[in-house]
Amino acid sequence: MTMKKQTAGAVTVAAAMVCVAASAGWRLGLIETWIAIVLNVVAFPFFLVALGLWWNAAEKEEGDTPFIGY
Amino acid sequence: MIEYLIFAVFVGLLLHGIHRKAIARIQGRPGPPIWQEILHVLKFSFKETWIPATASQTLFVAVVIIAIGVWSTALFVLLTGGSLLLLFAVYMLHKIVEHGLGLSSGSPYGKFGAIRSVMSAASEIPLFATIAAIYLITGSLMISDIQAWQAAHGPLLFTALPAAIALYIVVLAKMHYSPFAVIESKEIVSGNVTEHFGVWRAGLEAAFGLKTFVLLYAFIVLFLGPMPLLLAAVAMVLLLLSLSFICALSPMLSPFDTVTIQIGTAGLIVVYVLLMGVIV
Repeated sequence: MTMKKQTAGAVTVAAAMVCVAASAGWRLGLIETWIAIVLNVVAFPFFLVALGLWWNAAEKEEGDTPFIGY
Repeated sequence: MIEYLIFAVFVGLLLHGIHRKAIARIQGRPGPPIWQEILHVLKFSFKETWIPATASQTLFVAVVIIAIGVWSTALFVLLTGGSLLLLFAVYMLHKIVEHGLGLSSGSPYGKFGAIRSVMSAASEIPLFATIAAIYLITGSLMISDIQAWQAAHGPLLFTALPAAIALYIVVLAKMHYSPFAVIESKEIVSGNVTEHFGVWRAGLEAAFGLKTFVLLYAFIVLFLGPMPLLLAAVAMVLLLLSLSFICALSPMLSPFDTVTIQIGTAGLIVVYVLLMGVIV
């Protein structure tokens, strides 16, 4: 199983956008509180993990996170 | 809203750092700087990340995401003044995280941690009794109503001291280096989190930071009532320091002693709730 750096980057950006959009929408009164909470609760864990995987993935060689096992 | 989550993660990790520092100073050691746990998360997130060949790959990764999601939900339930039952239903979901962490890796140390997590389910029993006591006194399980009740009648800490002590033991059981922290004791390496390293551990530490913030803040909200943010922060640190003293001065209990004490506490608080139910 491999996770390419660009995939992790795409998940990070998408999750961050959901979190920011939900928070901004809630501040501006465009979306209900519970919807903003659900969106943040779902997207925030993916943001944190994908961010770590993104800056962890190798720049050189195949650019994969090495899920090599032992 | 995302700012609340990020704030709570950082403050939670800072509280972990204060906890470690306080324990070290009480034990006559210099200890790490209080921002050490924040650095730990950054360090882990730069470490090589992989999944053991013996692991259930999906569960191994999913449990980290679930851990962050569970405590994010708990934070929002608390901040929005939602139901106490919902808050502690989320707390119960943390058990799934503890089991999942240990069982997903395939490591014997992880499995020992997961089994001990089942045994330490006894620590949740005082929680139910606490909820019952709060309901009997305030007539509501909504956190916003409980705060309103305290604004009118004074802190529940004085009205329902046994319930506060029971919740205090529950919070203590979930602290790092707690005498009840048998699932991560050193004779089983790091217990249920032994095989989660790199980004996975960074995610878990962030989730545990959120957990500490939520549990300490929940205690303040439920037993001291509404207060300004700065005062709440001071109260949280004082509460944490009291827990640090216990952790620094108490050895890690054996699993059966842990269960005995927690069941004993639950028994006492159940008697208290029954008496209160009869009297009230």
